[in-house]
Amino acid sequence: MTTSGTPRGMLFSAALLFVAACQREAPALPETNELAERQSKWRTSTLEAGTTTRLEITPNPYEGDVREIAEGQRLYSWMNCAGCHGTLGGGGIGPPLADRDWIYGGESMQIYQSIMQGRPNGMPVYEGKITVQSAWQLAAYVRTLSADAPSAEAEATQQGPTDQGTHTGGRP
Amino acid sequence: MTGWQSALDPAGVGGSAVAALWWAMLAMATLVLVAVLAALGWSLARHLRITAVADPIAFAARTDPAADQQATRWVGVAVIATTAILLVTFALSLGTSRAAARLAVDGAAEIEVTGVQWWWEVRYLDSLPARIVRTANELHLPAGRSIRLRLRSRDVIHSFWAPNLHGKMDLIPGHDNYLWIKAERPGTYRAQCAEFCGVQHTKMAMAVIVHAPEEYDAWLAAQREPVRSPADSVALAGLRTFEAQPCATCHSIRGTMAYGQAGPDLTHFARRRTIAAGERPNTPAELTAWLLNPQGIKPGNHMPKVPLAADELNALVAYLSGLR
Repeated sequence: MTTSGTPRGMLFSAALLFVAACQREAPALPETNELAERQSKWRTSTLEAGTTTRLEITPNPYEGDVREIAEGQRLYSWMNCAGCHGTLGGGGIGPPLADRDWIYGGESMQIYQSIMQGRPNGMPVYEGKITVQSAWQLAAYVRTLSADAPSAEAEATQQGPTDQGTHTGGRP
Repeated sequence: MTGWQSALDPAGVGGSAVAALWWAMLAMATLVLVAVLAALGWSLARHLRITAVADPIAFAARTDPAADQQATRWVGVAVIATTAILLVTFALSLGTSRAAARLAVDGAAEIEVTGVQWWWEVRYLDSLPARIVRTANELHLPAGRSIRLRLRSRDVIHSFWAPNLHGKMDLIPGHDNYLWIKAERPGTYRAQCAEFCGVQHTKMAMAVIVHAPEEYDAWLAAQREPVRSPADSVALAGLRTFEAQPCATCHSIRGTMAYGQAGPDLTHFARRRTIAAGERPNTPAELTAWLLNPQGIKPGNHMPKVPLAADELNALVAYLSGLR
């Protein structure tokens, strides 16, 4: 007889389920110092005087985390990112974020840097204006904007004959 | 029956009407309960009498026109009583709505209450934009004056409920709801979000302070003033920290460089009774705990933990605690 058949076993399973269900609401925020440390290692460009070193890619601690991406979405509206980049990243005064073209790189780390350090022609510096966590949340959200954008190959295949009025959305 | 968040301790016109309806319905429900229990007791007693008969099946099969007629009469009485109760309840609830609707008057002051996950933004509207006061998590009302509350939401559906003053009204995104309210008894009451709105729904409360009319006018006039630059050096350092750190990106303090709109307005912050939407008393110790880790007090709320050095934190608390 297995334990899961007994009332105590069932109670244990229920408690396990309950604990697992609670996990979702508990935000696991990495310590700020750890994030700041990672940040100091990054470089925008591989170009440097003297010898060339490999660019160290720091992964976004919040990549794919639904809660943090939702928080990033709020920040996108609160910080008025939409004012230049458009609602859902459609673009406007600033470049669109919902396509696969990146002027300063589409890696999470590069998006983080664009937010924190600013970019020429209008992107302001957010370092000191938002927390490190907020910037990572924003970067995680910005990455999701282009998740449905057609890749270059898909766009090329779409040039072929298609029925009038049907919209393939560019997905392969 | 008393309390600062009790529908049975009314302090306003709407609240009195709701309390009267509540008591009337309790009385009627009690009468119905007693009548049903009495009928149940009577039928049980009758059952005991029948089982004592020698042949119960023959007893049940017998025809007794007098008993049938009596039973029909009782069913008739029950139908008439039920209809009467429904009609009386309907009339009483119409009366309650009418008492609340009578509060509408021309030229009444309008206060806008906006629900945000998980706090309340309160704006005291005025025809002159410069006189509009924006505060948070406290609703001040003048006793004896009809006030029109404009209820809005910035994100999801919330519900405004100050049981001592009135019934509930939902705050719906993209739609303005209006609630006429007239407080009569000065005092401090408590409003609570009454529609589930996310993880911190339970910690979305608001103090409702009813003043004597002249006291209310003085309070509003004081709120219109911007804050003055602090005199002592520690608080001044706190102001610099507030402006230089991410605080100012979300919060505004009128009279300073901080004009963020995402979070609660903190002008005259030290006059408020609580922090974190009614969750903790507004003391320097609680404020320090909140600033050290907002997620520890209200997990999932949208205020990030801002890393601050110890002296920055102390200065910030000193500054905010002096914002009277």
